[in-house]
Amino acid sequence: MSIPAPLHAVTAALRQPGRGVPEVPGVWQGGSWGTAAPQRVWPTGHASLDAQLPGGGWPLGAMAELLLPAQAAQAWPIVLPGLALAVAQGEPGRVVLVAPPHEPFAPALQAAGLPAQRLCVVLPGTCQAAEASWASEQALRCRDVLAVLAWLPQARPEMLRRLQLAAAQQGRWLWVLRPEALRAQASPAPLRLWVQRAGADLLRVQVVKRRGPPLLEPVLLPLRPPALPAVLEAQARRQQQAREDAGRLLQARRPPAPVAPSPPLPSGLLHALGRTAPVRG
Amino acid sequence: MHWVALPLCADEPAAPGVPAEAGAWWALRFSPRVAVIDEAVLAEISTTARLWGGLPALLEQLRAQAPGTAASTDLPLAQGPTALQALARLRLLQAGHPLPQRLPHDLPLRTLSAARPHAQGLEQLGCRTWGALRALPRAGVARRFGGPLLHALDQAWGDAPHQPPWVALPETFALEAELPALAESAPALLWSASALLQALQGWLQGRHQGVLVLRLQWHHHLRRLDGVDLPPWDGMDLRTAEPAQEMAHLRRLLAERLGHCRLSAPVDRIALRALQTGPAPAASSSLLPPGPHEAVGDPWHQLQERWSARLGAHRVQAVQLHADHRPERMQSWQAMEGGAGRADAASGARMGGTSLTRATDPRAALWPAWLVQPPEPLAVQRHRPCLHGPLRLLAGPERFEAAWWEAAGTPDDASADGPARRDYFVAHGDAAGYVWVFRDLEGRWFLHGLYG
Repeated sequence: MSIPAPLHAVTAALRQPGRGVPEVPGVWQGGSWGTAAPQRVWPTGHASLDAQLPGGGWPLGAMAELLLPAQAAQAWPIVLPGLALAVAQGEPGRVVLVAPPHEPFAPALQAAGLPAQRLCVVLPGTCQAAEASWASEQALRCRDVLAVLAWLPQARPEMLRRLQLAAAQQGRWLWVLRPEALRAQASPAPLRLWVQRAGADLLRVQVVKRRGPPLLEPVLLPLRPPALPAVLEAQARRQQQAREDAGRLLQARRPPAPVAPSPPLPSGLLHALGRTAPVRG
Repeated sequence: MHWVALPLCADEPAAPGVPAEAGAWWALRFSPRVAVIDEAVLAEISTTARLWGGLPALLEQLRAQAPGTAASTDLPLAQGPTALQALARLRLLQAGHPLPQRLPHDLPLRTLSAARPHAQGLEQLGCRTWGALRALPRAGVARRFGGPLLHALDQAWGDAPHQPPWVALPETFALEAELPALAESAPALLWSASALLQALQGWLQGRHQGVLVLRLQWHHHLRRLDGVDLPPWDGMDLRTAEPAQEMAHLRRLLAERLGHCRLSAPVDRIALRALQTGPAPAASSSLLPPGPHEAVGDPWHQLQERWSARLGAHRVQAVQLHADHRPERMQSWQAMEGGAGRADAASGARMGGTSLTRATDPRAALWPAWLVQPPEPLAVQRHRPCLHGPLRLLAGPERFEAAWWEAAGTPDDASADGPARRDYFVAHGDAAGYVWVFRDLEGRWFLHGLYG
């Protein structure tokens, strides 16, 4: 009676010191990523978020559900960098927004790397949930569509399941944006992110569900408009400069001591037009 | 001479009003010599076989493109040197009998249409096959059964010329069909309309055309209803951006449109005509095998038409950018046009989107992703605008003065036409987050954009 070779290898691995649980091929462990089917992904544009998503990015051909606070519409900081990256790398196709909560401001999106001609908005009519999910599903079945962003606050589970199936068949991006109150409900989406504001400038992203171990630590992402710090800094510098100039000007206007000749002022600082304007970011 | 026989309209009977010839229109794309004899479509293909890459290739195409082949792949198809022989073989094939040894001598007489009225008499003579009939003295056969039988036999044998009534394609497609029953609701028209669409597909295939504009009309059974005079005909037009030969898309569009439609009276007849057609784009196949992630699905214009048919054209919007300083005038979301949208999609796909972003405004970095339209007036407390709490002004002011050349609109609407002078700020509130606000000429504050 001898132990068969593969089993022998397993027992040897089990006895290996220093490791709690050995890696056994074909056995999935609770602490590792689910690698049942290799999935196509596209980076999100946020390195810290990529590190926590299975495969390292947004899944293609799977529904990603974003749970947002009810009145806030903070989908773009999460979604836009990845989309802009895809567009910059020459991915063809349109981006379809189904039932957006406000009017998208296309010039700003274009400046962020999402061309305006690629945008398409579908506004559902009277029976909102059914028409929005129908429109999203049709969009997923079109070959000229790159990504679908669907705001489906009232969609029923079977509609979401249909959407997930359509996305899986066609291998397209699908983000479904829903209110955060629904995070306790079951959802067919393989990836669910709960997005909240944390403080003034940060966005806290909690991974509610993913194909892998549960994530307890939230991911923090910057919330403020990306150009804002540079603009604020330039503005502060400008104000500081103005204050200094005003101080010097006041000093120059003060009646000078009769004996000492006034120090020669730098001529460029006297006139507001002579100042070098800081470059705005 | 080489004839091919195919069953006419395999599964369903043609709707009343559709000529039987319509079931053979599709075959005209393979050969100009097509005839309908009894229950079969007969096409003479010896002259065109070379164009289609030889006889086997042509037969394969015929099998693939015959209507109603999606369900059953084994379409009965028979060949023969004369039309009547091909027809006889098709009849044997459909009855499930094996082909006899000697052709055409051993073909049973019941497969010859002209012999059917005399089947009993011939049977009593002991004459069961074509060869047996041919062996009988001609004069006696002519005296007893008439000349037409002999003539048909000669034609079947190839001894006499056979000129069947050739199918000719009408110049324009316009068909009327009686409904099997009075239709009370619009979706009930769909069954008959789809029979007409089937005929249209054959007509289009025969002409190598695709349809662009299609008109479906229905005839009201009543002249007056509730004291109101009714027009005899009512109808609607269907448009598609690309010439369509595939009827699945048109059928879906028609179903959507009919689903929204209300008939003003019961309908007894419908008519379908093709108002505009264009050359059908030939499907070109790729040299390389398709990749694993090859894009599959419907083209964009079909999606857009389907959306428009169900939701209404004004609910499917594309954006147009304008050079203006007022944010609400920088863009206009408009119903997507078929042609323009297509051109945009093509150019957008080609550009890859990088060339456009280069030329954008340097101020664009601070623009918000959402626009609040129309601008929402903000409350002011202690000279500070408030949105769920006081707002802190961060970046700004960014002033512009525009549209002083325009006539003033209503003064209490900031989005109205007219001179606008605004100072824009990026503001932050603890509850509201980052917002884009502006102060107008009179010192009122408005919310105009949301970040995120």
